[in-house]
Amino acid sequence: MSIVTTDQAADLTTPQSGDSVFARIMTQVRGMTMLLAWRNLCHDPIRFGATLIGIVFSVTLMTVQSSLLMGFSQTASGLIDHAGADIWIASRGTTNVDQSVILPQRDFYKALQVPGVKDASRYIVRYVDWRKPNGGSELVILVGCVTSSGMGLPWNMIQGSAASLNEPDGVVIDALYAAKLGISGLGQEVEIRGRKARIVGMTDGIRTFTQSPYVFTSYNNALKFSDVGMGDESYVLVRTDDPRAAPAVAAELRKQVPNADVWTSAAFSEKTRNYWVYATGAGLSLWFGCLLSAIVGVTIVAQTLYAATLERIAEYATLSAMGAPNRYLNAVVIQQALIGGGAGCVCGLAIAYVLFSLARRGPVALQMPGTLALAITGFTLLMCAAASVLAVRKLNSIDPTSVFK
Amino acid sequence: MKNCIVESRDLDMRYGDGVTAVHALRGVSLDVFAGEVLMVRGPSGSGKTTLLQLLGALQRPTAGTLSIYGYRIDGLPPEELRRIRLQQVGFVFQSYNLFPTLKAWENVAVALDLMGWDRLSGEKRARAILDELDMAPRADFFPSKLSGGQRQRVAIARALAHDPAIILADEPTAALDRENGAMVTELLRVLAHDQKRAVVVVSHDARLEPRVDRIVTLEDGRLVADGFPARNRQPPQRVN
Repeated sequence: MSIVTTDQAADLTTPQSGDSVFARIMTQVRGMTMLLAWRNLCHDPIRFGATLIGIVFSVTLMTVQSSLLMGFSQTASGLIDHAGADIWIASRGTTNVDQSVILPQRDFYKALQVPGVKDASRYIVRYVDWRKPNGGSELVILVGCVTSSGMGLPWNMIQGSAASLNEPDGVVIDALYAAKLGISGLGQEVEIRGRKARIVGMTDGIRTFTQSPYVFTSYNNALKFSDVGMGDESYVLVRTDDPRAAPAVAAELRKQVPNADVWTSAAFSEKTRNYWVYATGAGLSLWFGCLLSAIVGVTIVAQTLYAATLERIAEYATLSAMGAPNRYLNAVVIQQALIGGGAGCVCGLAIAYVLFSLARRGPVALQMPGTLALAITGFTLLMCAAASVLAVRKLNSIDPTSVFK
Repeated sequence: MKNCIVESRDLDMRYGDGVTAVHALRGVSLDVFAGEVLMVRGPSGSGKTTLLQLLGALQRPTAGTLSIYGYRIDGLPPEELRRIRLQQVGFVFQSYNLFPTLKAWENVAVALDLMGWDRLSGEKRARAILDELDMAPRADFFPSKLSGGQRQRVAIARALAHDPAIILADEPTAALDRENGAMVTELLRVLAHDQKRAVVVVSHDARLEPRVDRIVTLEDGRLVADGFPARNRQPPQRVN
């Protein structure tokens, strides 16, 4: 018998191993460690399944919580982000766009005199009572804008147009809230604060954080439907000659209207988001939910990985006796964690995507941009790698002499 | 002239301190040569396993000198010991210690993977070695589908894969029947005689004695006999 040399081996053809396609890919990826990791997982499908369920649960929860957070954030500042104004002037102490205090009309005129101000427009945002056609009432947020200014108009119109807001008693609602407001179509009449109003248009996807629907109308109509006096407003929307100079113009406006708050659009948007998402505790509870999901995921992965490593400790000791460095052993365990994390991510994100599809027509905004999916994937893989620390520590203390005990 | 693969002088191995200290080896001097099958025997607790661990560079002696293939290992740090094991030592275990999740050829290829071989070359060499051991038809079988003798042949193939200078076998026939035991013993002889490797076998199996080249006996950590088996008409001689 003569055992072949390296050179002879290179001349031999490789027989087909009859392996699965995935296992063959695995062996190509990185020598034997990936294959060992994959086979170790598959060798105990129940444990792998339990690990996967834990990761899927964790990923789905984290994704939904993060999406809610992003959705809440975007919804909370929607009015500001779509208003087309560069600067907002509000009553002193205003915390968010939905809860306003009436601003005296002199501030509007002062704003117009500030250099750099191209245009200014009165804007009304007030909570009012909405009487449904078939009885019952809802609290809504009335939004009154000067349509000719082009600022603060409703967006995503699917029926009617912004110009129809100027029709006497004309209001625009969002289709998502039509049923809630008792509306089945255009032309229907309702009562706002005891005054007749008529549906002249509908938008799509304009949600509110407070779940009190936005009802858009013209400034003049809004005066009739609210407690705002003629010439007064909730906000003054300002458009500047050069949007890049908005911070400087805002600084000048602060001098001219010292009793009001002056914000650039971005700053007011952030302030509103922070108020609803964080000051109310809603965001913190979502973050806490995310954290709990991550902890659950890490715990499950760490526990199952550690148990699996202990179960195979004799095999790792054999590798160590054969001369395998610690990084080789660690690679097997970490790749086990990453395979579990990757598979869990795919399943978790798929479930989350289905949930988003189902919630698309609901009043709760869920945002799942590609960057969020990437971030969740990255975080999950990191989380799984971190969860392998206990198992890695065990491997690093392995005694190769134990193979002969 | 014989090529000395292992050279040890006055090896001492002590575990623990004080009254609980265990003196596993006491002043063992032993040379192992290329081309010979050396059998280590002795009662339980005589120090056979400790000697095997030292010869396999799994640990350092507490006293004495030990060279494997010219490398003095008694003062080397663990990382250097690992390198020596990786390059110069092949292990064969009583219970095979195969990886149950890997096929036969993959078990062999692991040793090559550790040496940095690429997967394709590793697979070719692993299959070629298994072919030499008449295991080609079983190369794609998982260990659970192999008989004891077949598993031990895979284990030997794995020990051989990286072309080590010394092969250390711990009770390689203990779990095998007569036929498979004889086959494994013959295989170890071929590895020593034809390929000029040093083969050290720790065993209680008396069936091995006529088929090895040299027998050393340990008692209470001391080397008490070193000589040739009965077939060579030179019985082990007392050394102490």
